[in-house]
Amino acid sequence: MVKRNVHATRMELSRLKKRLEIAERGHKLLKDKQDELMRRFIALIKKNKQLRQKMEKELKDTFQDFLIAASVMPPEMLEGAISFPKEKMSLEIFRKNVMGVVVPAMKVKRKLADDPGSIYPYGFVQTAAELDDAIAKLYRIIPVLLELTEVEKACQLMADEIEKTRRRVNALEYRTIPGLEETIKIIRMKLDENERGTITRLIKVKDIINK
Amino acid sequence: MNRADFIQGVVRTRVLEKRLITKDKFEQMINAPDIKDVFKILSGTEYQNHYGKISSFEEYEKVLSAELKRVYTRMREISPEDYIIALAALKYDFHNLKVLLKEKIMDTDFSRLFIPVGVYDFEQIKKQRLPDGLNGTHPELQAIIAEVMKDYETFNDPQRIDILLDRMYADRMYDMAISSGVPLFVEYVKALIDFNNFRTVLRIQKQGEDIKFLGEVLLDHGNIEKEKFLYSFHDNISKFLYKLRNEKTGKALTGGLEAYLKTNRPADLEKKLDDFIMDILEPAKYIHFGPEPLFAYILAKEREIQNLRIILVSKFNQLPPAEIRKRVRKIHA
Amino acid sequence: MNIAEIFSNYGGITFGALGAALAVLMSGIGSSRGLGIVGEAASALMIDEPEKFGRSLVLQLIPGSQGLYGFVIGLLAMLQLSPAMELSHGLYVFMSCLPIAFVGWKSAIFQSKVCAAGITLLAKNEPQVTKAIIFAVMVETYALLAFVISLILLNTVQF
Repeated sequence: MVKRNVHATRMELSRLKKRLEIAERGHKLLKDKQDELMRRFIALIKKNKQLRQKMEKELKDTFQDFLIAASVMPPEMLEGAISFPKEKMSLEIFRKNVMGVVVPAMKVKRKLADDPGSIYPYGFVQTAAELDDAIAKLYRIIPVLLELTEVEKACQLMADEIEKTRRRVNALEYRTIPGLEETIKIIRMKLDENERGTITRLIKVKDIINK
Repeated sequence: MNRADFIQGVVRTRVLEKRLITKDKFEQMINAPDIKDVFKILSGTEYQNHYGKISSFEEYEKVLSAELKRVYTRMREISPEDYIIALAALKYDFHNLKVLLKEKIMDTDFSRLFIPVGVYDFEQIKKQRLPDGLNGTHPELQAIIAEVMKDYETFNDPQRIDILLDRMYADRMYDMAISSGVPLFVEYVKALIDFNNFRTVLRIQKQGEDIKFLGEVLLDHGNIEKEKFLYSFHDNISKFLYKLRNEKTGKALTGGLEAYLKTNRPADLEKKLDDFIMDILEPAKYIHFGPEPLFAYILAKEREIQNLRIILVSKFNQLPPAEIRKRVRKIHA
Repeated sequence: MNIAEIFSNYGGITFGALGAALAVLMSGIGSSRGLGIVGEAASALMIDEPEKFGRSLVLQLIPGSQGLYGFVIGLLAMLQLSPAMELSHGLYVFMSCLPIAFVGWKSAIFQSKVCAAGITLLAKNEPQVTKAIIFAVMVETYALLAFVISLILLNTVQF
């Protein structure tokens, strides 16, 4: 951002100096923000990985149970048993602010939470016991699944934010600040040049007067 | 009942029994590398007739349900008395009733969930307005439907539909067995009810429900009275076992429970109990005059279909043979 | 003529004829009933496996022998009949016919059950069917014993 055709005045110089100062302070702040974001981001990524592994394991277990249930029951009976749910679930979504990034937070609510059997909407005669296990596990997975969604979305949003911050830091670091410094240098050189010109002129005038 | 009237049916059943899949064939299927080879082994059995209905192996369920339907049609033709088939088909009728009621209450289409082998033609019943539309055609169904609908209006609980219908199913099955006058049928139904009650106790303990709920779901007419289960609900396992040891079905129950405790998998218990049901039907092999062999054949065929489903589902999900072998039920050979 | 006279004049031939009739009647009923039961079973087998006709025919025929025994005894008893028979002679013929009449009747039905069971064995496990035939023939022993006794009784005492 070098401007060569600036008005080489003292006013301009002091204005540019102020700008440089602000840019440097901004750069420092943004750099701090970026570091902090990175730190949190890495922590989140780790958590994300953990959650994903946990969820994958539990889902695998659940499918295993479902598989057994499905293998001993005719598919029509299996589907008939779970076609009419007794439990109703609702999802609440909040906003959470992390370093200026708005991330979602979710909370699941069961309508019949005080009744432990409410998640099993079927009778006992025509269903396999393994189905109970599968359904219980599925219900246990839901909070994990939601947390994973939260974390994954937060990761995405934070990655965007980090990207943006880094671009700003880089712009400041490699364009704005060096440009300003360069311009200031040019102005200063011009001013010095002018000053030297003035001095020379004064000496010359003095000589003429003395002669 | 004149037992001599069944001789034709028994002879024809014996011919059909020869076509049941043998233990060796099952073993081959368990060891087969993939689902394609299972189908190859199955060709040459009664299942091959249905191969034309499917375009890929994933649709194996179509083959199984077509075979079930064929077996029931065939046995209805062979059996001189309807009640033998009705006793076996009752579970499908009650399943269809459940689907029908859920369909009506939720106002959705569950046509694909009906199993068309029951006594009643639900395609036909569906078209009528419930419960009054059935007037005259099936008074017994109408009573059941009206009662369940009324219950749903009071409690608004879909689980109660199943529970109520399950109880009616057990009552109906017991009545049918008693009125047939065949001791084997009564024994079978009683054992079935015992096993169901026992399984229910364990499931309810696991689900964390209370004893009041257990009282509602336990079935009547078993060898072991409902009260015994209720009293034992809070007992520890060994005391429970001790109480059951003198019951008629006690041996099977303790065997099943031990298997369950070893692995904590209810599937192991269910397998043990299923195997015991086959043992109960074993005497049908030595009866030549009477309805027992016909009934035993239907159940044997259902068992065969179930075993095939276990093998096919497992193959489809690439389970190792040892794992499949553990799940495959005893067959009526 | 009072009752006693009728009895002593015609009793002999009446009882003799009654014996012959009973021997044929009861063992005939038994046999035909037996053949019917086995025939029903065999015809059920024909629906699915008509190639087993020969062996099922053997099984079906086994309960038929009692009827034949009854017929033979009835014939022999008939030969002894004459209008002037004494009452004691007639009663003796009558009694001689009883073993085959009753044993023939019941054993044919029992035997037919074994044979019908044999048909189910034929349906399921054909190579073993000879054993079923042997089991069925075991029942025949007692029909045969009754036949032999009836035969001897008819021939031992000469009036």
